[in-house]
Parts: sequence; C-alpha cells; structure tokens
Amino acid sequence: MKAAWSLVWALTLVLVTCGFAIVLTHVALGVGADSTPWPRFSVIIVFFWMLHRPGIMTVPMVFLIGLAQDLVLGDIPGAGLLALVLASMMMGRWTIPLRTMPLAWRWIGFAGFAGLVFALEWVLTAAARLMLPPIDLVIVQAGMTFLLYPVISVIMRQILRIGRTPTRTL
Amino acid sequence: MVGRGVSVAALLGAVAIYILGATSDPRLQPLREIALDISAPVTEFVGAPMRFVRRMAGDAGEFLDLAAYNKKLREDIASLSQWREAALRLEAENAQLRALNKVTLAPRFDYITAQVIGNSGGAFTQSITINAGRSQGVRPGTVVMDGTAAIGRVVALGENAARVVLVTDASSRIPAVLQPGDIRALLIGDNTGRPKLQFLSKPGRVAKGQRVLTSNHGGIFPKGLPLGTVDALVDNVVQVAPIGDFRQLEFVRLVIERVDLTIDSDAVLIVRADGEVEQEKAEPAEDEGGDEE
Repeated sequence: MKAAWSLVWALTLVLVTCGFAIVLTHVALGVGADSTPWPRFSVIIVFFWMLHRPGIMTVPMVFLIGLAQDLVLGDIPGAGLLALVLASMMMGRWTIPLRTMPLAWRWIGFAGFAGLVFALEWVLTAAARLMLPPIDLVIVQAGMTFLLYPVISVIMRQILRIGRTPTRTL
Repeated sequence: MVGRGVSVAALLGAVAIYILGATSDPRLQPLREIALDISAPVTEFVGAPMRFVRRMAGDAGEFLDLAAYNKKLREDIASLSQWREAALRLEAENAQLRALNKVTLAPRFDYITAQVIGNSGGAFTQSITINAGRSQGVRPGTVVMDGTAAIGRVVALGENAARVVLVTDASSRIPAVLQPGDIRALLIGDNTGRPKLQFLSKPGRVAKGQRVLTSNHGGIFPKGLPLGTVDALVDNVVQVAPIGDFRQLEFVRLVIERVDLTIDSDAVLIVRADGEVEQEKAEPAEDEGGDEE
C-alpha cells in the first residue's frame, strides 16, 4: 500500500513539475526575435528526474513531455520531442554515476545533456525548414537554461524532501 | 527487453511525428488544437503575476525617465499636428471625390482585440498565443495587427485561444508591395528581427526607407496593411525593419474579413432554425429535345 502511494506521489510530482515547466517556458515575457529567449525549463526538469526518478522518467515519459512541449510552445511538432528522446537515450547510461555525485558534477552532466538537446533541435529545425536558424539565439537560450540548473535543482530537491518527510502522529 | 522495445517504439513515434510536423501534415492539427485549449487558460493564470511585475517594472522605468519622455512627447505632438492637418485636408478631398462619383463603401473588416498570453519563448519559432479563438469568430489565416502594423497570422485555432505565427518566423511568407515604386515582393521571415524581401518584381528600384505593405496576392492578407520599412540592402539582400514593436506586445487586433453572402439569381434561400442563411442552387433544367437522335 505504502509502495503504491509512493509511486502515485512520485508520478504526480513528475507530471505536475514537467507540466509547470512547459507552461513557465510558454509565459509571455517579451516576444519576437529582438527579445531575449526564455530558458527551457522542461529540459532542466527532464534531466533532474532522469537522475532522481529514473524509473519514472523513462523514454516513453520523455516522449510524452517532449510532445506536450512542442504542441504548447508551437515549435515544429516532433523537433523538440525527437531531440529530447535522442538525448535522453544517449545520456541514459551516463546518468547512473551522476546520481551520487555532488551538484557541480551533475551540473557538468546537465551541460552535456542540454547542449545535445539544443544542438539536435537546431539540426532538426534546419532540416525541416531548409534554412539555418540563427545560432546566437540558440546559444543564449541554451546558456540561460544551463545557468538556471543549480537553482531549479536545489528547489526540486527541497520538494523531494517534502515527499520523504515521515508522517507524524499529532 | 520489454523496456528496450518500448524505448525504440517511442523513438520511432518521435521520428514519425517529426516527419509529419516537418511536412505540415494536417493530421497533427487536432492535437495542436487540444493542446491550445488545455494550455491557454493555465498559461494565462500562471502568467498573470509575471505580466503584472513586468508592467510595474516598465512603469517604474518610464517614471525614472519622465523628463526625456515628456520632451519626446512634445516633439511627437508637434509633428503629429502637421500630419493631422494634412489628414483632415485629404479626408475632405476624399469625401468630395466620393460624392462626385456617388461611391458608398461598406466596411469590409471587423476587429477583435485579444491579449497575448504566451509565446514560443525560444530561438526556433517566433509565435504567440492569444486568448481569442473560434468562439470569438477567429478563423485560420486571420491577420493580426499590433494596432498599426500587421505582425502575423493565425495558424492554429482552439475554442478560446489561437496561435499566431509572427512575420519574423522562419515559416512566414507574406506577399508584399513596396511603396513608392509599386514593387511586388515576398517578405520571408528567418527568426531574426529583420525579415528579408525576395522575388522582387523590380530589384533595381529598391531603396532604403521604402514602405513595405501587404498585397492581397494569394488572398490571405488584405491589401495595404503596413509591415515595415526597407532597412538595409546588404549583398543584394533586402532587409526589412518591422513596424510592430514585438517587445511591448501585450494586446493585438485581429482583422476579421466580412464574408458577404452573394445571392445567386437562380438560388433558393433557406433560413435555418439557428438563423444561418444558406442558398440552395436549383438543378439546371434538362435540355428539352435536341439531343434525341
């Protein structure tokens, strides 16, 4: 019973945080090419759960989150999704040793994951549109996403602790 | 083993969706509409405090810069007064000419104002989400303006939300005309802030500062809406500076073209219970005789 409750809680937490990350990426704060791109919160959250809940953040789950992200953000359907799925399959093995390492190492691991996601999406978008998307905007967005990882990671670990707090009898 | 099979299936599914997305397959449209309808109210709710903070920060910035702002407004008023005089004179002249020709122009367009509630926020797409959709009379292809200039068109539609692709997006192609000179061209977005003009009808006559307006070739955009001005000519590439200020985009205006019912003289008009009027064309009368051998 406790195991089932734990699984439901973990699944809910993963889905809610991923959904919130997509919505946060979508919130309007300056529009158009002259504005600074907004970080991709969904990439951070997917990597975080790949480390901390690998049993839930499986490739099919990454597929669902990637699809939701593309449909909500209005990107070419499948470009962000395929980039996320490919990056998670490539990085899957590397996340095992990263789980027990300090934050600095996990941050470096995230740099590799985010770099792979943005590079793949850039290539896939270029192939779909037969036109090279501006690389400077991609670098800015990837950089902002990279810089935000430690902050989100610390917040998410606090949220994880709430779930682990034993029930006390009052 | 099963897990690996599921992962491979997910990968193949992603590849399939990418191919459908890259080829703009209409089978993905219902999925887009569902995503719009679900995400728009959540984005509007989550974004409200952030938009409030942004507005406050903007107001604070303006307050700090009040003296310079005031000076600029005075200059604008002086310049606009001259334009007002010219506009009034032209309006009177126009009315006089219409009266002489007995022309009555019926308004062809209706306008809807909508709020920008979301954007693609990224480097790969330049699009926004607005809180008006099918229920408000928005149709696919509806032109969106920021008040003065055309900034994009509706590409996906939900019940109460729509996605607008901006003129700067790499998928945007708008038939345009340059004035003065009446040069036809195609305005092509490339995800930068400076879309390019291609397929110019008179390439040698393009000059910096020319106005870029929509032309109704292709029938998507109404004629004569301002898009921008020719900003630079670099290596035979004509760059356009859009008039619309995308950074300050909070409300937009949708141009809804009125669909007039042209009544066929041979048709029968049917008024349905919901008030919709429909015309049913009579079958062509059979040729009596003549064909018999």
